[in-house]
Amino acid sequence: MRKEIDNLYRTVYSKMVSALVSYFGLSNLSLAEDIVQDTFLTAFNKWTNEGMPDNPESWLFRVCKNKAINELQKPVTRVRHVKPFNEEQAIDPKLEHLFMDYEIKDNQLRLLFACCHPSLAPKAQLILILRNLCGLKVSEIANALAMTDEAVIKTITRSKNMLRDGNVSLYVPYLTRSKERLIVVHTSIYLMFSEGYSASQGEEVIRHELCLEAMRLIKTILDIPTIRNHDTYALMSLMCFHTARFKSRLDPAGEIIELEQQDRLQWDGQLITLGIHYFKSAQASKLSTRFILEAAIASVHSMSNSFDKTDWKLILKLYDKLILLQHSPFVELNRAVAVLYAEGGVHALSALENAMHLNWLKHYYLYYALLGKIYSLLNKTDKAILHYEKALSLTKLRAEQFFLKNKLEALVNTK
Amino acid sequence: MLFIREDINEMSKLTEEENQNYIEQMLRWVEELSKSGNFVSGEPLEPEIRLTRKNEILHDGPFIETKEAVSGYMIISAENIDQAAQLAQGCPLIGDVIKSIEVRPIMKN
Repeated sequence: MRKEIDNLYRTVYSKMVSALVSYFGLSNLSLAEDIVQDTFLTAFNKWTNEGMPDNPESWLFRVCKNKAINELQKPVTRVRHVKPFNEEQAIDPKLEHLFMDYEIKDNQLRLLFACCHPSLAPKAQLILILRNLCGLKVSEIANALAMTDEAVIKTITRSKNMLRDGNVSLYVPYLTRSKERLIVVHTSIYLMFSEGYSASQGEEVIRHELCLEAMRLIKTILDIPTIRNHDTYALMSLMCFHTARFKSRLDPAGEIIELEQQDRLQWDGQLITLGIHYFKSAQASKLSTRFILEAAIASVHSMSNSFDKTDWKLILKLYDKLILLQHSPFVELNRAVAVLYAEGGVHALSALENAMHLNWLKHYYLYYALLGKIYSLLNKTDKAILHYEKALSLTKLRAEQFFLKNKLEALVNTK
Repeated sequence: MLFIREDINEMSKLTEEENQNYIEQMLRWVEELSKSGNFVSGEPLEPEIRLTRKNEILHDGPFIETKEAVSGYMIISAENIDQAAQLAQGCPLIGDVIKSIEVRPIMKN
């Protein structure tokens, strides 16, 4: 039963928190969370003794509503600065409309936008979203983001204080402000997906779930024509393309398979088709935003039947555009890969030598891994070995060490 | 603009391995900032220093008054100075080798 309650927690937590917060305002976020936590505690205790009810979700909603009403009716209530959320409807003391079906999705979306407050760091926004919209526990968030529990709790507390003091309204400027906030919301969801997708240590299960959660959240925005824009489509397509390749990235033993060797038959054709469909909608805007460019690059890969058939010259052109928007050491490195396959090893070396952020790259194991690759393609085996060894010395991740050691072995054997 | 201040004495006592670890953590932070679209540029600085005043050029910083010297800078883009300060606080080494980060908005034209 523990497991069933955990699953319910994941799905129902955010529905209840967002509904309460819509009624009581964001300044009561902590109270909302406490009421919901309390509801689950009551559920656990009751159901352990009496078994689960037929409709657990309704049961939870009913109990939550009662607890909220109780709180409102206390002579000294914890509820602060209650704002009626629109002019026609003052706070209904019986909370009749709380948890009405059509309201739920709407409330969650509002809470999503509210969490993306521009004065909060992107990471803090992400943590709030993971907690309040995805129903993740502190330990799960800590695990997903490679942080300590304490650090997560600290961030949540600080962020809630900031939101409380800033008296953020959930409703009034919602539709108008949501257009400005959209880029922030998109970035947060992109970060969520990135965390889920990265191959670094952590539980595989939770990471895959992060990707799915990110897609679910983007879908809720996509469903609203007055809010979604070209970037919403681009992000969705990007996530479809990346998720399509999920299974082919690791072999049955959990070892890394590089793009070149991935079995493209394992790529999810339906997801790729979906990705292309969304990408076309993004492309229709004729804009070249960061997300559209990233989606474009992913689309080229996803639509190529094999590594050799990939249009690297097109990918390079896309990176040339992306680097104008986002000149980070990592984009430079990825661009250099495109240079390698579009123009050859010599040009790739030159691209790296001229990288603006070479000082950072020189401490990055993937930079040396790329150099190793370039030199091995140029048949300069000794140099390749040198750089792969340097790469190996810079990474502590087991899977990557294994991968690099194999590369080294293969090179040493050719000598 | 973020001015990163470190304790020069502590820095000089770091082993090769600790130094490497420190830079790797900074690199991961740069990666985080890049993903969220906040990173613009930044370089580590060499420990060599000159302090220039009207009538003198010193070969050491004012290390008696403050043990903190600027060891690096970063330019990030943020919504406002409060977000920038929050981002700076996300630096993994703050409270460790990094003693403080001064956050100043660059003047717009």
